[in-house]
Amino acid sequence: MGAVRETVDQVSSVASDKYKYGFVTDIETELAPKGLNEDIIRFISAKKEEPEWMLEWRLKAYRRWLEMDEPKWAMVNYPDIDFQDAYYYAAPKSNQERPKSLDEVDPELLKTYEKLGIPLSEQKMLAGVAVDAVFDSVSVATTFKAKLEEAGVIFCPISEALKSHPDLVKKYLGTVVPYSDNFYATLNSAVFSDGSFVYIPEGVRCPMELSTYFRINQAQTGQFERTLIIADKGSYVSYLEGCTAPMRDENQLHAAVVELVALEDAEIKYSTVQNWYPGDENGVGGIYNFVTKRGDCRERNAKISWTQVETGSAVTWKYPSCILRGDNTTGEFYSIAIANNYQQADTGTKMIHLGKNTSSRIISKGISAGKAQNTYRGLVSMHTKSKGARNYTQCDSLLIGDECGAHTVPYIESKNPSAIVEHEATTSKISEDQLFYCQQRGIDEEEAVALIVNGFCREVLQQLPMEFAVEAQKLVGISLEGSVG
Amino acid sequence: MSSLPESKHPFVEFYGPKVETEGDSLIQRLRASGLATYQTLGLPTKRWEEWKYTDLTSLSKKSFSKPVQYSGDVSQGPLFETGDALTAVFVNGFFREDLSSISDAPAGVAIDSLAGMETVPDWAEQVLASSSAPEDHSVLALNSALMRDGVVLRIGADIKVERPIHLRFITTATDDAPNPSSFLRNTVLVDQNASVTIVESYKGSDDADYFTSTASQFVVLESATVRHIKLQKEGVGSTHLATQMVSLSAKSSFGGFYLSGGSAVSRNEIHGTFGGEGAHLQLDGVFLGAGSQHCDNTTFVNHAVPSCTSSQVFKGVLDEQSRGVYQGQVTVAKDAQQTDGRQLVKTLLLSDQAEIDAKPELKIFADDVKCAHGATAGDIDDEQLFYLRSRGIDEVTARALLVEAFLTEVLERLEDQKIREFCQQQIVSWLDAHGRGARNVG
Amino acid sequence: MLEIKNLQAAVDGKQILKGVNLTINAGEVHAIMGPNGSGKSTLSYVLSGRDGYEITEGDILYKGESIVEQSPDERAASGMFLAFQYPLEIPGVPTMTFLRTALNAQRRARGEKELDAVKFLKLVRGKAKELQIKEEMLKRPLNVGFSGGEKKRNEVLQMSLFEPTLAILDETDSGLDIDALKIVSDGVNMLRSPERAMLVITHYQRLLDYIVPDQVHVLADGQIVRSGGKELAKELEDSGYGAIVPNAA
Repeated sequence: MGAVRETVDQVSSVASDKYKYGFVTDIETELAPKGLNEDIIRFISAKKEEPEWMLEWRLKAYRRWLEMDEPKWAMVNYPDIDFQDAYYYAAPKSNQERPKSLDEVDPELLKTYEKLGIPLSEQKMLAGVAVDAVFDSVSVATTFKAKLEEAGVIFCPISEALKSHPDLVKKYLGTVVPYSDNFYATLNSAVFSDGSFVYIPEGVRCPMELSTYFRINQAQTGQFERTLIIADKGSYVSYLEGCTAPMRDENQLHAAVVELVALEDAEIKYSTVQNWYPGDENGVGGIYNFVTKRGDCRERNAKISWTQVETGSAVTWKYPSCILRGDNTTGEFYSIAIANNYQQADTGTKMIHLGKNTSSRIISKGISAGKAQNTYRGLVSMHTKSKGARNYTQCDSLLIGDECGAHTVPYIESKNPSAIVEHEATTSKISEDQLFYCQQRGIDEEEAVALIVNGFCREVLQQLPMEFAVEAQKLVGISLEGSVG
Repeated sequence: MSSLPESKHPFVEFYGPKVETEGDSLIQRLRASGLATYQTLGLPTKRWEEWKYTDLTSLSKKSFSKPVQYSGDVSQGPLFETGDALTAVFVNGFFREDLSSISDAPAGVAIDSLAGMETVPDWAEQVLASSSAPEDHSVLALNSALMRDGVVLRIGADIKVERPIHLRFITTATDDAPNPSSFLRNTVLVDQNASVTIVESYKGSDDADYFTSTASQFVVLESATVRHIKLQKEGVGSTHLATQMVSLSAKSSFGGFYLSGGSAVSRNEIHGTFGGEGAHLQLDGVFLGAGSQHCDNTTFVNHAVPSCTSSQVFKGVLDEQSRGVYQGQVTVAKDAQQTDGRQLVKTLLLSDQAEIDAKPELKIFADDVKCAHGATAGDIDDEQLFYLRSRGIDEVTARALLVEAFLTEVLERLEDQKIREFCQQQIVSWLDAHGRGARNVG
Repeated sequence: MLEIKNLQAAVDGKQILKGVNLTINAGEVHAIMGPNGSGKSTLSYVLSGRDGYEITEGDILYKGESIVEQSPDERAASGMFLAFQYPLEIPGVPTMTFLRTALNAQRRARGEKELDAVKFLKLVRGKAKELQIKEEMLKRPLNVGFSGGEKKRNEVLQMSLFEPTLAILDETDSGLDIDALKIVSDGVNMLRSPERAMLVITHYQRLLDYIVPDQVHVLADGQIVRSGGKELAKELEDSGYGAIVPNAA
């Protein structure tokens, strides 16, 4: 991206083994020309052999985007982004003809995933994880297809879904996050490259957890995936998303859109461990993570639950939200956001209560360290017809060191007397007493901090699927390295 | 005066009458810069984050009468019988000596009307210049540009003022001014180790569509104590915009209590800043809404130095189509360690059409702090209601009892018994008018 | 085991310890008594290496080596244990997780193999049973919502689990009723051994009825003003600190 800092030289000497995903994979890549215009959009659409309506939709979004301003209300600061100074399409070259099985995937790529610890290999798949891996912009492999097909579950790259299930995509795409929604979502609508598509048929409990790993490899690329998940009546799916990017001293943009649709009695559980490269100790480099995630509990008794562990990215701007449209629907948001060094995070949720007896629960744990700024921003809105709705929000901030900031900006709007909203927020620091107590028992300071912070986050960690929870706990410790002492 | 469309800058045409006489005084400069700021910014719009929930566009569609003195009878009695209080009465924005009793101020208490002073003393100019509100505050800028009168009050060092000082602001429609507008500015300096209770009350005709702009600046010096009570029961058609600014020195204490029950549209905005360690700021409020009233309480508390405490409790009861707003921003600066900042806002919605918007906000840049906020919104608790009814109390009475009980938590924070009883009385009569009568049982 | 030489220490620039001399040999139990503000708790913090407790003069030799430069966790790994007067609460961290993290950290520091989950569980269950600690308590977050007695029992459990060579008990009797005091003291007494030294800090003689010391020292105004056998504690109980310590209540 254009926001390359001037202090590039300064960091080339900094040894950084702290970010273990900071390697670059040497793969031949096909790039579209830099910059953004209608031709690039036509190019992307043509490359993907998309139907005409999809191209029109993209162009509509692009034209709308040209009239929009970047949002400035979040408590984050970053240099202006030059949207013309980036590649909007990057694909591993060997992937031009899509691999039909894992054997056909570029071995370099597989090595990359191995380094990432993605369970792409058969044995790990037996653990029950089906993986769609999005490398830069295109989806390289979707595993475990057969078993899913048996259950009637569609899990494939969205580019493929546009060919194999165009009607489903057309029916739901943009119905939760319209193409005109906000600056970054609109940009995404114009240029989205790939992403996952999931459809769980009526009454089906997805037999395994679905998982996507996103990785930004190519320099100077933006990544714009678009994920669409539809849980039909009475179905259930748990979806995991993990993100990493190589260490670069420039800033890269990640502007994804995730749309979830839960129909009657359906449940979607969406978990994210976001560990994009956060930049170095001096705040150089790192991902700008400007993401729009929204779920629509469209029919009665639907449930959508977001769990996120946000430890990466230089700047995060992200509000996974729930529209509680159907009666008796439930929305949940469990979040851990850790900001260290110069990271800035402005994240939270929106719970829009439209239907009767809808309920929502927000548990947010923000940890600030170093010189980081961490903001919780959330909206709970009780509309006129949300009779009997309930919300409970607990929003805790923990500060480590006296140079960081922790901010809480809740918006509570209620238009219904029978709706009950409860919001609590606290701010505290790790007490010297707690640290000393741990140390007296033989636990060194860094481990003590990790232990105490994991305790602070426990309610959220418990929401994660087991294998993710273990990973997330380690990540909490790693993210805070160097924050004390 | 302005090339911009007038609707964006209502009131601008009122500017000017005293410019010549004041010359290059600080007040004159304050007016001029206020005008400039106001003309640049215009009235707030809902697109401004601080004004997200309060819409003032209706102001530009109305035409208010230019502030004029009125020396006739004021038919309305006082809102608040303060008995032995020292009273300064302002009618339609101007001081009325004939109705006031400030001439028997005790030693150590200097009280005057701003318009009546030949020269504004240096200390008052300094207080005026020491605003704790941001510079780009268009509502305050409007007040600065057009301020006419108000009280200029100083409590000398070590003086403990026993009698409350009551500032009564009354608006009444007259032939000259059927829709009066007032621009009031109060300047208060409380010297070291002094203590005082100041009551501001606002009342006006229910049949006039009038406008009150009021700003009060309090500078509280070391170890001084101020109890500030503001009672707002303006006429039902009026617009009331108040900006309160409080600067606290070390070990001083300011306790504010804000009862808002009047006006079609009202906003009570408080800016508190700590300038010395060991100070305490308490801000409490009750807001009562009915009809299509809109009542906004907005607070900014700036912990700029270490070891200060702030505590806020606001409670609202909203009936019919009324709308309440609470926005509270507590900022803890980088070095303001050992801060304790608390906020609580609770609202009862008594009708399907009432609405509350709350935004209790924390901005924290120091680590050794205790900050918390809480917010709730909902109806009267069904179980409690059932319990009372099962004891033979009818629903209307039971509801009123529970509303009173709901407000008790904040009223109990008022130390002064007389004032507390008065506020209780106000609440009971409000409930008689709205909470009890208006509600359909069943 | 422990040799304290002319130990002087300050907190926030204020001198609290003004030259403490004390030697404790393996197998011995020493009690330090003294009025409030005499520096008892400061001594326990200085010995365990707490930040902000600055040694201005003197030395602490533990197993013959000076430890004043060591961090608290290094001291813990080499066998020093402080039972806190007010054990800390750590929300969200299950007691079991904490115990295992601490035990394995100490073992790692000593170059020993970490205990696996099964062995660890067996070990803790055994120790907990001896101290009449219910397993349910070990699943709760560390000390959160524990009664005063439960917190102190948890301290003794940790002591028995870590098997320190030097145990410092800071006002272990505070906040305990007589039954809890007995259970805790029994636990401590079980840990008395020829290889282990103990330093019991207390304001009241009461505790010393249960944990009988070999020697008693009176700390006043940052110095040991008198030492003697266990009968000294009794004498203090009868006559009060006033008789021994000038200007003490």
